[in-house]
Amino acid sequence: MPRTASALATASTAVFLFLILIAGHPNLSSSAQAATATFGMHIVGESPTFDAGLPVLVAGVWHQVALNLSSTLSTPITLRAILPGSGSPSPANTYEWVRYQSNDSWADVRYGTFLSVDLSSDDGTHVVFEIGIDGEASPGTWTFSASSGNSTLVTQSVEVQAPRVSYGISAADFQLRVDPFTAADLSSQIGSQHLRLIDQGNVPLRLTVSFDVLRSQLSLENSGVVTHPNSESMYYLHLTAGPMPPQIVRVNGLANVSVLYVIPSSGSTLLVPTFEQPFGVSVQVGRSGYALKVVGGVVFQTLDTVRVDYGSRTIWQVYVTGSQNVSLDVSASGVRLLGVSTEGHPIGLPATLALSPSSEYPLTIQVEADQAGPSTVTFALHLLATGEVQTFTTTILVNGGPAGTSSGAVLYLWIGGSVGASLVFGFVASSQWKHRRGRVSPRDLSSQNGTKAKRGYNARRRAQLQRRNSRANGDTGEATKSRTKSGDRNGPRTSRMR
Amino acid sequence: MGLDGGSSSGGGTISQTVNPNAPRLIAFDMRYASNNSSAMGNQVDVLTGLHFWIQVNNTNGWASLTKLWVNLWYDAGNDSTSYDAASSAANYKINITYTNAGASSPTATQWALVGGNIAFVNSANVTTYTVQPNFEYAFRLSFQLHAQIHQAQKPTLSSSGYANAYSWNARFGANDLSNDINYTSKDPTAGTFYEFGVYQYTSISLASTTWTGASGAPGQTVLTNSITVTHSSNAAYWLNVTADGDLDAGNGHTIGITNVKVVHNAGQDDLSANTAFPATAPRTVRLLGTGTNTPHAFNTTGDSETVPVQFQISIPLGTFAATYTATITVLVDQRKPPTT
Repeated sequence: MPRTASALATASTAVFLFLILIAGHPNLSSSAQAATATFGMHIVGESPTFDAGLPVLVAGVWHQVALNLSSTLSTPITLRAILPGSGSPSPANTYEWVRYQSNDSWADVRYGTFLSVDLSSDDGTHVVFEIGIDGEASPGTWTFSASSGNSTLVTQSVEVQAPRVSYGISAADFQLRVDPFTAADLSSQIGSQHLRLIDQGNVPLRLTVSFDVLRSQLSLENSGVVTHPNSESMYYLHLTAGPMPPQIVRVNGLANVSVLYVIPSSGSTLLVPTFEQPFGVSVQVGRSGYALKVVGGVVFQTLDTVRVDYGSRTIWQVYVTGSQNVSLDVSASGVRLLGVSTEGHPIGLPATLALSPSSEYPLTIQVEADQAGPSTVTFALHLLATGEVQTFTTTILVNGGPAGTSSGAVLYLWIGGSVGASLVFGFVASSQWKHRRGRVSPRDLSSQNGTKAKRGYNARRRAQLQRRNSRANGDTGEATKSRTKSGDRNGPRTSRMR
Repeated sequence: MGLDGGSSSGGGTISQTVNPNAPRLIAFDMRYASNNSSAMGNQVDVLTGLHFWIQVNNTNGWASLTKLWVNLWYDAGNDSTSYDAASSAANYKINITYTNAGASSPTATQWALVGGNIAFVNSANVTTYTVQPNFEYAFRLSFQLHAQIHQAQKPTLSSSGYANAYSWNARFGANDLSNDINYTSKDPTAGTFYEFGVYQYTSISLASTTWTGASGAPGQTVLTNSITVTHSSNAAYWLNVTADGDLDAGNGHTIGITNVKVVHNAGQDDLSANTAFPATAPRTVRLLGTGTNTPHAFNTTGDSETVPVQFQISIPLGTFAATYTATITVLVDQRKPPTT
C-alpha cells in the first residue's frame, strides 16, 4: 500500500506538471482547446454574395475562402468541398486543399490545379485559401468543411453556381469637337456620350477599348473599373491631342469585354471567351457652331444657317484650309450678296486662294435681305490640283418682310429655285474654271487680285465688284490674300455670326 | 274704321362660345429620367429610364376628350416615312394610347401600351398632375426602351420637318367627341420637329465561361461542351468567333488552330458545315451572317436570340500530353450605322 500510495502521488505530480507544461506552451494548449473558425467566401475583389442565406461560389472563377480561427494551429488545416451524394470523387464533386503551417506551404492534394499559392495567405489566425472549382463542376448545395487533425473547425453549406457570362454594352456614336490648331483635353462626359457595360451574369467583367487611329490620343476614362455582377458601369472617352488642322477624323473603336479571375480547367483543351463590340468615334476639328465640309483634302468651315431680319445686312465668316489651292466663287439666291472680303479687304470673284494645311483662310461674307422668305448663299470650290468641284450652301432665314405668296408655296418655290440655281451655278462656275484653267498662265494666277485687267466674264465681274466696293467704301485697295495663322485663329474681329 | 295698330318691341342677346375644335397640346417632350433634360435631338440609351412629359388642355371639358396618342417610329432612312406607313414591328414603332370614355378627370390606367418594345406599366409608370380641374392635366409616363429598339443616328433638330434620315420621329395626337383629331409633330415652344437617336446596343449571355474538350488521345477527335450564346443587337449584325492563335500548352507544345472546327447546327446558325478556323489571322469563323455585306437579319420584334456554339478538336498524332488553351473571342459585330 505505501508503495501504491507513493506511486499514486508520483503519478499525480507528473500529471500536474504535464498540465503545467501544456498550459505554458501556446501551440499545444490551443490545439487541445478545440479551436473553432468562422467561414467567409467571395470572388476576388468582390463582395460576398448569398442565395437564400447560403454563400455563393461560382464555378470556374477564383474565390477567396477565409477561415478566421479562434486560435492558432500547428497541425495542417484541410479545407474540403463535397457535393453530397454525387458518386465517386471527381472535379465535378470533390475538392481538398491543405495548408501546411510547418513549412509554409499549400496544396491542392487531388488535382494540383485549383489553388493559387501566391494569393493564399496565413497570419496565424486568418487563413485565406485562394481556391476555385472547375467550371464544369456540378451546381448545387455543396458542403465545405475545414478541419485540423481530428477537429472540425467549421462546416458550411455553399451554393455552387455554374458561371454565367451575361452582359450588354451600349455605345453612342461618339462625336467630339475640338477647336482648330488648339490643344484638346476633353471628355465625352460633357456631351453625355458613353459606353455602358451592364453585367447581368455572376462573374466580374472588365472593359477595355482600342482604336484604329488616334491611338495615343484617345483613351477610356476610369478604365480600371471592374463591372460587378448585377451592376453596370459607365465609361467615357477622353481625347488628349495637340493642335490639329480642321478635319474630321473617323475612328473605329473596339470595346473588349473580358471575364476576370477565370480558373484554368482540367480538360485536354480549353477555349476561353472574350467579347468585342465595335463602335464609332468622330473627332471634328472645327470651330464651334460650324459645319465642316471636306473635299479632296480641303476643309471648308461654314454655318449651315444664318438668320437676318428683312431689310437688314449681316456678315459671317467662313474658313478654308487645305493642302492645295482652290478657286472660290460665291453666289446668292433670295438675298443680295454685298461682297466677300478677307481681313477687311474685298476680293473679286472667282478668287484663287492659296491655302495651307497649317492655317485657316478667313473669308467674310456680307449679304442684305432684300426679299422675304428663305434664301441661300452657295460657295463653289474648285480644287486646282485635283480638279474636284464642290458646292456648299448656307441657308439664310429672313425674319419678317412683306406678306406675299403663302408660305408653303414660297417654300416649295424656294426649294425648287435653290436647287436649280445651285445646279446652274455649279455648271457655270465649273465651265468658267475649266476655261480659265486652259489658258491662265502662272503670271495670270499670280495676279488674281485684279492688278491686271482681264477680258471675259470673270474679269468683268471682278471689275464690277471692285467698282461697286470702291463706290461703297471709298476704297481703291486691292484684294489681299492673307490668312489667319495658328496663333490668330479667330480672324478679324467683325460681328461674326455663329 | 281702322283699328289702331299696336306694336311692341323687345330685346335679347345671342350667345355663342367658340371653343377650340380639338384638345390643345401645351407641352410634349421626351426626357432623361436621370436629370429631366430633353432627349429630343440626342441619342438615348436603351434600358435606361426615360419620361414622356405631356400637358393637355381641353376647354370643352376633359370628358369630351376621347384619345391621346404618343407615337414614335423609326424612319428607316426615309424622312418622309409617316407613322402609319412605318413598319409596325415592335422594334420599329411605339404607340402609347390614352382612352377616355367620358370621365371628367384622367386616371393612370386609362393609358395603355398598344405597341412597341418598351417597358411601360400604366399602374406604376404614370403620374398625373392636375393643372386646371376638369380642363387641363399633365402626365409623366416613365418607360425604358427594350434592348433591340432599333439603333438610330443622333439628329439635328429642324423647324422645317423631320430632317434626319435614320432617326426616330415622334408625334403627339389627340381626339375628342366631335372626332377632331389633332396631331402635333413640333415642340410648341422651340418649333422643332420631334426627332431622336438611339445608342447602338449588343448583348451576349453564355451559360459557361469555357469550352472544355474531353480528354483524348493523339489521333482522336473530341468535342467541347456546347454553350448556348444568347445575344441581342439593335441593328443587323454578324456573330463571329475568332481564335487568338494555336492551342498552347506552354513549353513549345501546341495544337494548330486549323484542327479546331466550329460545329454547325442546322437551322440555328448560318454555317453550311463544321468549319475550321483559318490558319492565319484573322482566324475567324462567321457563325451568323454570311458575306461581308450580308449581316444576320435584325430581329424586328424580340429582345434576343440564341445560337449554340460548340467546337470539335482533332488531336494530332504525336501531341504531347498536356492541357492546351486558346482564347476565343465572340464578336457581335453590329453593322455600322446608319442601318435600316
